[in-house]
Amino acid sequence: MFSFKSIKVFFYARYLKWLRRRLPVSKEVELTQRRIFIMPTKEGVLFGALLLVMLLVSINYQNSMGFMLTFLLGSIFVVSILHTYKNLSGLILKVGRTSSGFCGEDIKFEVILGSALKRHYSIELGWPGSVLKSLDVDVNEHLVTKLYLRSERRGLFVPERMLVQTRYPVGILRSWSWVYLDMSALVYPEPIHSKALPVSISMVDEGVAAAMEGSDDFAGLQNYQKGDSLKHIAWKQFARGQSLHTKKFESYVDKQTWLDWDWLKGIETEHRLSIICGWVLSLNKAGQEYGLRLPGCEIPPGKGDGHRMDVLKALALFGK
Amino acid sequence: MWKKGSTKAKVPDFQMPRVGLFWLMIAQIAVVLPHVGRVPMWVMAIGVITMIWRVMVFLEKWSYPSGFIKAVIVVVGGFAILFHFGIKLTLESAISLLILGFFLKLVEMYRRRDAYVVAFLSFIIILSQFLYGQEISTTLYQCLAVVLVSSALVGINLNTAASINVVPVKTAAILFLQAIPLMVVLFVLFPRLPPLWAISLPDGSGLTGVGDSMTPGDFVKLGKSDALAFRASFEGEMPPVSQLYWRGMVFSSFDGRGWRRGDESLYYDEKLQVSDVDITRLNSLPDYSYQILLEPTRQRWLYGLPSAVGTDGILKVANGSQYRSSSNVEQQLLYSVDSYLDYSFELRLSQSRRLQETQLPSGFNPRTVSFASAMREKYASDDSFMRGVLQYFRQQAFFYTLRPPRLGFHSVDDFLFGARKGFCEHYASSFVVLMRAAGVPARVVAGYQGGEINSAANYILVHQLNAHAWAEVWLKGEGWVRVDPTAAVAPERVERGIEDALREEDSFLEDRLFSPLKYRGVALFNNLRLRMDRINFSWNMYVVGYSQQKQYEFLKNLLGNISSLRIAIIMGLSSVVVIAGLALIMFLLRPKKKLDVVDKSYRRFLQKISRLGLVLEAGESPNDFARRINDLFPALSVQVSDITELYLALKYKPLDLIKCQPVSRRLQRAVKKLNIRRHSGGRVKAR
Repeated sequence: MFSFKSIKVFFYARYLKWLRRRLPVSKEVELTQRRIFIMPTKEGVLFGALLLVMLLVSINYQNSMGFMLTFLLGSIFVVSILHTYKNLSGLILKVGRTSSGFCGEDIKFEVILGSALKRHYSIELGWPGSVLKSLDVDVNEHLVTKLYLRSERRGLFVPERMLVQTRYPVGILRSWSWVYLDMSALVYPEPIHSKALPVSISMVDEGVAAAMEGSDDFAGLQNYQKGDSLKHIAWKQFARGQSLHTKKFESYVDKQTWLDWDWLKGIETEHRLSIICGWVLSLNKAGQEYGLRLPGCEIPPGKGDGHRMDVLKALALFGK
Repeated sequence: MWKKGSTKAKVPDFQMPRVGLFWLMIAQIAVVLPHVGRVPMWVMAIGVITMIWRVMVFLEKWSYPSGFIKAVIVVVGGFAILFHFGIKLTLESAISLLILGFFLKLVEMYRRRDAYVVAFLSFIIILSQFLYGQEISTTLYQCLAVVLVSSALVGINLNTAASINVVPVKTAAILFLQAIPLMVVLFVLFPRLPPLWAISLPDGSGLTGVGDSMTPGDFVKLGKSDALAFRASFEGEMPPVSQLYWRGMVFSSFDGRGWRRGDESLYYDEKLQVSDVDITRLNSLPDYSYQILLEPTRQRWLYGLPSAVGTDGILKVANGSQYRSSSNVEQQLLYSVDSYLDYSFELRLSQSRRLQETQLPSGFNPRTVSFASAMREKYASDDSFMRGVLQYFRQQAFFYTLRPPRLGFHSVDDFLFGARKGFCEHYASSFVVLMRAAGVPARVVAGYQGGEINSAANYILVHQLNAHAWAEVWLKGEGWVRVDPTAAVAPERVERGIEDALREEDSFLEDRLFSPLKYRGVALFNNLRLRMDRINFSWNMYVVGYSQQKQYEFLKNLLGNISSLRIAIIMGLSSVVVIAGLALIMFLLRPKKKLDVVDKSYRRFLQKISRLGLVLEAGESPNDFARRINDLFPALSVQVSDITELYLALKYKPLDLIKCQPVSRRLQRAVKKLNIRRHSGGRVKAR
């Protein structure tokens, strides 16, 4: 059965499709005639009501200057359609840099605003649901605007259509455009730190896998020596007034750590990935080598930021 | 939908742009200023306080007044207005209330919308000004006010960070100017409708003019006023000034002190079967045709030269040959009149009318009564008696003055046999009393006499100081005959006007040092004044006076046949043309797209290289071109490859735009440094 809601959903989907066709995705968008929509704002509707009242007063008092004023304001309304439209047209939006982040974090997207012809006043920019950012764009300026969007799902984060709007000059009209900028960011799984690492030490050379207690287990303090990693300095103790100490961790130089999908059998996929992500962060922090084994993907052990990024990317895109 | 949510999220930290607040306050001041005097002073005082408060809030020195304080101000203010104006809602009380609210809103501006409300209220206040006057000066001032309020609207839409600047005013002025063509189209073509319901009109206490009755001192007051009463614009020849008796109303009832109108139901007599207007003008052409533009009087009286006939249905002739309109004249009124000189009023007088026109209150002015009856016996006819009385006025030492002494209980006795100093009202009144005491029907007529001729435009200006009272005497076979006793005493009053009549006394406009009328003697100044008045007159006739009827006439001339469809079409078409024209100017005639700095630099590079005889071929990539240059001019290789690299980086790596500016500057510098002459010179030599 068709419910009213399903019809609405159907039409909304058609609308989005039409919008997408009309406003295709691209790296750079210049707001032109076909892209700009314009409607009165609530204040504009109020202004219309005001004009009606003024017209009634003028009629009742048979006051010519009252008519003149009413028609003048009405004409300003009409003229400001052109101005509000003009304030948006010619604005150029370009894709800037994006950052990646963990699920649930705000992801930064940079949009570069430019204009070849004129200054654009009070341009508001943002995604539906977030606070719009308001800025002026000057001629020949390349204004880098940082926008943040809360990530909700792991994977490649492609933001929705973005809203660019302006109410300038008089605020009784709003012209807007929907922009699909071709940008995306990687969203890693939300790390879960609570779970201790059930280390599988794959003794590659022996081909035996054994589980041991957490590899990053704290093994005691030793006096700080030049060259020790800053990451391992026992700041807490130092803060208490003791001399500098370095935290000593058990290391397994000869063994390679593999983070294996199969250990977490029975746990839901996203949760599993979150746990693995948490481990990656801990291991990376500890400066340890680790490898990743996911179904259909294996990253040999390594360390450093590059390695970490590769691993996180694999986690982010797993199953996508 | 979601947008609503986002603005709501902004609400707590909405900060009005400083520039918006600044222009909003300027606009408020400009809008309220002309109402000073109409609105109680304490409302203005509250306005000053709220403005200071708002500024302090903005400077973060004070906080917004608490809800309690605001409630107290609203309640107290409301009651104070009630107390000041009384329970009846008048235009003044409504405006005071509006302005009070308008000021209080200033310290309640939490949201952007509140600022819009203040701006929109400003427009209503501007409109209310026009109910008090629509002169050119008022209009110009209000145009300025509209621009300022629009500036405030622009200001509140600017970025919060914007400092106080004039951008909003510039933008608003552009909007204003661009809106004018469409406004004109709408003004001319938008259908004018008759009033939809009864309305409360501006308080007319400030208005002067000939009133519904005549008590001593009324005309003296008018004689000191330089306010305009009306203008009369003639189609053909103008009558001589001495014949300009602008008739308004007649006073038949005397109570010993003042005059009022008589019982009009007596005019029509069943037996005689006549009404009072007998005009032998049938089938003749009018002697004068003119239009009168009457300033508001708040009364129904209209003025015309006898005997007048309204040609557009506005002027109606009432009993007693009085002229009036069907409703009070609350605004400038334009009406057309034809006047016929060949007329007679009320040829036959019924007994009850005769009684009415000879009525005198008993117990007043005994000396005058006995004087009149004694004098009547010396003359054979009413006519010769009338002449005798005029002769009496002429011969005795009567004095025409704007400073008459106070008269006692028997005012006419005191005047005729005591002071003998008076203004037109005294002469008219005492003359009629003398006539009536002798049994001759007589009455007082009030109106205006004379006027100032603006010959360049063929119209006459009549001021309040032209207000005049004269007498009419009923003579058998002639009806009512005009008699002006003032003319007997001061003939120059009628011949040359009140200024000459008061020359000796020097009391002409003595309270009004700066009245422009006072300097009529200075030719340059007077010309300027008359010219200004001509502009004002045209403004009032054609712009302010553009009424439903005028619109009908205009459209009839324009369209021939008037139908709502035709009007709609022509209005729609002209609006579209006007707006399309504006759009054309705004969008198509805009400056050519400026070449990107990067492209410009590269083009200059190509120009320089072309001097070496090398040109970028169609389809050749910049890299290939650089290689070609390199082969021929190895000395340039470093510079050329540098330029090419920079150019390509800027052109095809859009993500590096953040660093774009320094890089493009580097490109510009590199192109500038490229020295071709040395190499080209070498080349020329080699040839």
